[in-house]
Amino acid sequence: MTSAAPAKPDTIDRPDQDEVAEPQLPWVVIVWNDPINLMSYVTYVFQKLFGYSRDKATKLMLDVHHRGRAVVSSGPREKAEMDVYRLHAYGLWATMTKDA
Amino acid sequence: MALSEEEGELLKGIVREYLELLDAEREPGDPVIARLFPSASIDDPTLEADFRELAGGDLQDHKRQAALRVLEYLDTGDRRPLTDDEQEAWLVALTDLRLAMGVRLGVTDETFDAFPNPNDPAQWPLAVLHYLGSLQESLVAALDA
Repeated sequence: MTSAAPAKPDTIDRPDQDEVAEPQLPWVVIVWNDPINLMSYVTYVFQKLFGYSRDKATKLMLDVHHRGRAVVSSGPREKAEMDVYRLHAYGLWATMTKDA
Repeated sequence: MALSEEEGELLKGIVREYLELLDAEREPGDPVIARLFPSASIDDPTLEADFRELAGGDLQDHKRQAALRVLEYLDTGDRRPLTDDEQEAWLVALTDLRLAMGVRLGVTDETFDAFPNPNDPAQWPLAVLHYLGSLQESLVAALDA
């Protein structure tokens, strides 16, 4: 006996969500406040490393200063690692984490 | 760059001390080293270990080279204007010197804002920290102009 209806698949072929989503989850780089680095210097570093305008760099610096931290860049893991490295090279306290 | 002979001597001493610190055997938990080479992650030791393996050596070398450039300039005694590369080296080195000193002194936002009393020898290190800050401030201003 055959059925005219197309066979129903046992499982729906759906890609594993975790596997697909993971590489697209961006990483974020966070700079933390410290009592030693100068505000003008931190603003300079943001402009220099990320090409931000002075306004944007100043806003980020003030976020770090008043809120204790700010996200300064994001992207794939390799870029985040490079950004953290460059920030550490300039003496800023930076960490990276997967954006949640 | 305008530096008196006394300033030059003071800076040489600080930079040499800093270079010794960079090359010294690292004591686990040294807060100065922890600040100069902060963890790349606040909660993921594997990520930090990977980062350290990837970048740790380069980072140390970068900091050492910057300090050596500054020392080289100071040793010549010729106070010509800094080249662009030298300005970057000075910025990096002054930052690291200030971080190392500031952590050693346990500087906080509050103590940092209190201007040191020049008549109190116990406050001289803090005065030096402010002096390094003023040098850095003028370098940043020059680069920003």
